[in-house]
Amino acid sequence: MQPLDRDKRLTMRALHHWRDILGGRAFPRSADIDPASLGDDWHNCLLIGLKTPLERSHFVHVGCNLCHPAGTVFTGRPLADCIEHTVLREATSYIARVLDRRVPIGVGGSIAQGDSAFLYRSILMPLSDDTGAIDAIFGAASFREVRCSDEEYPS
Amino acid sequence: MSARRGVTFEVRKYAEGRWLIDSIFDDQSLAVQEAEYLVNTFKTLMAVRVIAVSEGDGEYREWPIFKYENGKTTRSAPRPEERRIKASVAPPANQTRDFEKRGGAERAAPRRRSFDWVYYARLTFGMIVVIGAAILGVALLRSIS
Repeated sequence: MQPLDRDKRLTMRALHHWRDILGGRAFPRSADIDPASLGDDWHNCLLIGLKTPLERSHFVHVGCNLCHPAGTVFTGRPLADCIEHTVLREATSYIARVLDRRVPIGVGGSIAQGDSAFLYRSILMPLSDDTGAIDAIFGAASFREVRCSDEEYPS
Repeated sequence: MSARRGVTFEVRKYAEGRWLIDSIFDDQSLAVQEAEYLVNTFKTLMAVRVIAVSEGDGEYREWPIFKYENGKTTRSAPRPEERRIKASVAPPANQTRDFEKRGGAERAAPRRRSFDWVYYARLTFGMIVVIGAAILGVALLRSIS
């Protein structure tokens, strides 16, 4: 297995961590997520406990780099508490697709916040505690402010 | 913003005697990068592909971007119609880019049907050749017997 830092993109490093802890199962367990292995990337990661209906799902972890406004504690709060036009909101907007396809899905895009624009790249990965039913979502997102002429997504 | 409708890139792997979707990206380079990672990391995988999938307006299309089979890797260029669509929506050099509308022009572009026409023409020709060969074969067998 290649070292975690082989990839310059944060979302891909998170995906490779997900693969590392897969251990021959269909999905890793949420308990297998290892913040120490992720290092500083953990600050850009999120963990969601799923409930039915989906609106009742809540954040188990939100990295400090994804909290907006800065310093907000999202742990234990429902998904609906995300403010619109934030990276956290965009990065969690396609959970239903992950549940439907049952595979990791990576999505990038742009967000306009006032006079600023941000490019982001995110990924969501399914987790399950042995039953086969997806009961949690592991995610990661990176972003950067851009000028309107920029074209590259964040690493 | 949710995931963009339009083209997505599915990384598929051949495992346990069948094709499985491994992951999905909206970015072609990331999908190919992940396919290469799978090929290089999991040596037991027999085949890995990246398939571009276009959905919307009641139509579903897919075409290969990257293939790894039997130790050999091949990459496919974008379809001709994809190049045409991209060329037609390229903004002038001095035009400010609108991030919120990114990808909208690709979605709104009319779909080309020439690909389907060529495909069905080839299919029909192939069927005629096969049927002709079968008739000739039967005639030959009868003449021998």
